Amino acid sequence: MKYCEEFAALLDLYVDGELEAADMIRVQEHLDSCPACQSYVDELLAIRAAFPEIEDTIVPEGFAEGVMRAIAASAPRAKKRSTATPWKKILVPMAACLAVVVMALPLSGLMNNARTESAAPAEAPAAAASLYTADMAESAADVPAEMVMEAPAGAPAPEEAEDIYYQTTSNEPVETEAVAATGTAAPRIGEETGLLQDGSEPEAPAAAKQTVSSPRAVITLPPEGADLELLVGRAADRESDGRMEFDLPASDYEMLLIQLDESGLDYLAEEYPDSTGNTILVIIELEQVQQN
Amino acid sequence: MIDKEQQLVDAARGGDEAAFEQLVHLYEKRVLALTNRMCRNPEDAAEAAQEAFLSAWQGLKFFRGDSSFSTWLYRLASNACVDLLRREGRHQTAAGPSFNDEEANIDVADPAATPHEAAETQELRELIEQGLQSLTPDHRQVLILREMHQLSYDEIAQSLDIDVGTVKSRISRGRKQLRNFLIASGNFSPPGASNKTGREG
Repeated sequence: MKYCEEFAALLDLYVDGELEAADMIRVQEHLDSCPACQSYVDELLAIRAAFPEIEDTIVPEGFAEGVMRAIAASAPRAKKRSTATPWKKILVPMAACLAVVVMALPLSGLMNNARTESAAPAEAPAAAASLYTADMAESAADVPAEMVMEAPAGAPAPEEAEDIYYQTTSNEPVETEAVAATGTAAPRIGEETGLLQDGSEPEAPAAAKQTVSSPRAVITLPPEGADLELLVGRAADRESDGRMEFDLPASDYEMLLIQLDESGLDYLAEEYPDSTGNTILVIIELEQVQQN
Repeated sequence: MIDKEQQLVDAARGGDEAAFEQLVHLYEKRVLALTNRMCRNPEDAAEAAQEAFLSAWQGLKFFRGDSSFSTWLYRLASNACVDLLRREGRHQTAAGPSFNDEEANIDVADPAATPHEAAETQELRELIEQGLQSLTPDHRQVLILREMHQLSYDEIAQSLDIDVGTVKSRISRGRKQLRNFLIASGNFSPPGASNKTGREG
């Protein structure tokens, strides 16, 4: 299909409204007398009219959940595999993600009804998540445990476990002051609009647990933990009935977590960012702790 | 043309306003899609869309029906966009992104009309989706940003960190590739509407 040299270059700009008014008019007048150019324009318009729309985008089921799982998995210090009560805190973001998945399809319609402050569509997924976070916060406890990323096993004292989650998340660099202040459990979701602050967790992080002031973190492991590379062949610094304790340099913390991840062991991590110490206390429980 | 649509057009041409209203419902989304992406200012887009339908109502008696009604209507719509410029003598501005049609939305196509509309548009839409897959990523990307996300050339350039000239040429080439795909599929050839489209002089 040939069309005039002179106007050929302008036709795309024309249908895209990218020409100055005078040129738009000029092209329009040309179209009246040039069937070839008119035909090309007609075709572009027909394509445009039938072009797939954002609202028709199909979101795979569980998409947002998968995102949140990946985010949590990539966080260096957010591993609490053997906690019981904190599930409630973990369930909040999960519930919000579920809400995001449910709402993902009519998302653009949602934008007009969103109660959030962030109106920019580019933030729509986050805004939608925030919208539902507050709503879901209360019912988070009802969300089935299988939604949670990590299976509970050998739970330590619930009280400790809650602190862990709070303290851990409060270390996340991405968090806003809203999260740090309340120590709530859904940093990324609540970030955008601060909604989560209002629907924040009922329990404040218990400072009581921060009794051990010198270690920066306390990791509690099952007996198999003694086989971790960082620990194997290393003499315990203290041994008492049923446990061994190691004082690792704080610089080993990251590596320890990596090795823990790879080992698949269940463990408990308590972090004390305010500590002035530079060691990590690793406790190997020689008897399996079971509190169910 | 689909039978029901043909009936509506015939009825409307005879002065049946109710029939025309159904046509409006059938096409409003697509016409707005058009004007939104050509005017890129939601108020103008809404106004142009209304003008397009008004022109269609007034010009129906001249529409011989020997070409696609939709082609004719789309042309009215694009002309309406330009006519706005004539009337108000203002330059086209990239007056902020028009992210969703709902800003200028009059009404979503009513359910009664949807299955009918869906069949026709759906076929072409699927074909376009296939066609998009056949494009090189560079071309596909700019077309999607332009047609689906309604970004201006400047915005596309910024998003992709390329210059506007590159955007222009990719859009142009991408469209030609897509067009060729559609034509080759044998299911696409909007015949030119034979009559003048009754726009303002």
